[in-house]
Formats: sequence, C-alpha cells, structure tokens
Amino acid sequence: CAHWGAQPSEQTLDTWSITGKIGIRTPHESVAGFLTWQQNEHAFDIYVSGPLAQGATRIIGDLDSVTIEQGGQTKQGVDPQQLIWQELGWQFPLSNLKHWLTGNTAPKSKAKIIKQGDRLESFKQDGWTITYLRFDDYYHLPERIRISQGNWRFTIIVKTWSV
Amino acid sequence: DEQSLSKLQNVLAPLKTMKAEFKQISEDGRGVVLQTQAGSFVLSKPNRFYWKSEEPFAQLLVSNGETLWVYDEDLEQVTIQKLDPSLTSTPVLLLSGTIEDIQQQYKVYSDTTDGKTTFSLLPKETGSLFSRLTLYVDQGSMITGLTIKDEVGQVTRVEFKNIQKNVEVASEKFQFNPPEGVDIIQNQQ
Repeated sequence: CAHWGAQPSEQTLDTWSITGKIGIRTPHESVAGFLTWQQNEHAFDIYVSGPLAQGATRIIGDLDSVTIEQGGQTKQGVDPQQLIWQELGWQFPLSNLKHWLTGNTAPKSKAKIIKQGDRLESFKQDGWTITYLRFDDYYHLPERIRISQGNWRFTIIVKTWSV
Repeated sequence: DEQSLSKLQNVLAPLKTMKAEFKQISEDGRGVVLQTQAGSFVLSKPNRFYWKSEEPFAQLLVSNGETLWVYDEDLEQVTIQKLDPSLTSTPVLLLSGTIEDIQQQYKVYSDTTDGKTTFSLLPKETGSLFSRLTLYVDQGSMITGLTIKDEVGQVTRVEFKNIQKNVEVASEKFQFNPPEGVDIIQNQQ
C-alpha cells in the first residue's frame, strides 16, 4: 500500500553541495554536462557546463529571486522555475529538486511511495517519478538519480557530496 | 589586423595534427572556481578531434569532421550530432579549423614580447558565446594555452602540456563506436 508523505530521514539537509554530471533529455534536445550545485537553506547556486565549457549555464537565486547567466547574457526574475522554463526550456522542478537530491520527498505536496527498502528508493510526486539507482556508501545519500515525467528525463550523477 | 592574421596563419598552417594534455579551469567574474577539468586530446585538421576529459569526471568528445559524438560514461549515454560550425567558438575546433574559418568569424590582434605572442580573437558577430578568446604561443610557435572570456565575466583557462605537433594519427581515432547497452541519442541541432 502507498504511504503518503513518508519522511525517510528526520533531519532534512538544507545546506549541502554536490559536483557531478547531469543529463537532461527533453522532447527536443539532449544535454549532458558537468553539474555543480550549492544549496544553502533556500539559496542555490547551480552551474551546468557543456563538454567544452561552451554553453555553460549558471542559475543563482533563492525562493523569490533568480539570475540566469548563459552565453554571455544575464536574465533576472522572481520565479526561478518560470525563468528556467522561459530561458532554458527546461521543466526544472527546482523547489522539489532540493529535497529529491538528498533522498527525500518534498514537504509541500503528497508523495506516493513506490519502493522503500531501508532507504526510500522510488516515489511519485507532483507528476514526476523519482528513482534512486545508487547511494554513496559514506553518507548514504543518492549518487545516481533519475527524475522523469513523460519524455522529460533528468539523470543526475553525484560524484562528490559535501554536507 | 592583417599583420596579426598572417602571424596566426604562420602558427596554425604548419599544424596538421596536435597531441597534448590539457588542464581547464572555469571561473566566474569574481574568480570563484566553477569547474576544473583535465585530460588529453588529439586533433587533426580539418575539424577532427578526440577530446578526452578524465578529471574529475570522464567525458569523451570525438569528431570525424562531420559527426560529433559526446560519450558520457557516468550517464551511460552517447549524443550524436552533426558537427555544428558555430561550435568553432570552442578551443578544439578553433585549433583544428582553418585560417579562413578564423578570419571569417574573428577580428585578430596580436602582441609579441620576447618571442612569445598573444593572439586576441574578437568575434565579429554579436551574441557569440564569448567576448574574447586569447591564444598563447611560445617562441617555438607552439600553442601553449588559451583563455575564453564571456560578457558576464566567466573565464575558462585551458593550458596544454606535453605538446606534440604533426604526429601520425590513424583516422580510426576520430571514429567512435558506442559500447554495448549505452543510450544513443540523435540530436537534431
């Protein structure tokens, strides 16, 4: 049976940073690049760079402000998810991702647990399916994460966690 | 200016193939390090290259002049796309391109002090991915590195080591056969 809003770990991480890879597959393109993501409470600093450092994208902001730097241009906005969609064409569930990346469901909406071992392994939330394919053996934090909805798919590989 | 262009021509023309190790650092406008990469590459004119990033993450780019393969071991995915001429703003394509490509897209300036030359390439069209690309050439007219700066102040510095010029390279090197079980993605761009 489905447990609604199960919280696998009590202490929710809100200050962390990761370096790794991100694969973004959208209906019209596929991007594979290097990812650096620093989360500090509500503030985030995300850097995605293409293979030859071209097409590097930086997304900085917090709950109600965001700046996107790409291809030598800067765009500002108040709604991070909306600006990311408008400027980058990515449906990027940013406010949920902060929780999903650390192996947790997001607090503000219901999550339908699909698979729960000693760690939450797969769940559905806000239309997205989140699957943790591998955990790192030191922090037991996700190391390989697939987040998908229809033909949108994010694959995130975490190479280094710093918590 | 004309004189710089011919100087650059003298550096690039004799370069048929180039093999080297690279170290790449990307920083934002305030000098915060965003990304570092290291690895090795081989390139052969025109527009053929094998660019293998090893540290801190593996990523391989192979081009046979028409097709570009981007193989990402971690993501178990290879993206295949037509080699896009606008990619010439990337270091490896600049080095493996022709002087005509360069002349068509960039204004070239140079400055030589005690035998070492610095070439500054400014894109002619606006909206290019970067605002300035600087090439560093030593006394032996060997390219030792380059930096790319964009309007927002992001700087990427690439340094080359163990550089070998005009070594024999088999053309199979610039052909990539995806391993078993890897996601193959055709990109339209």
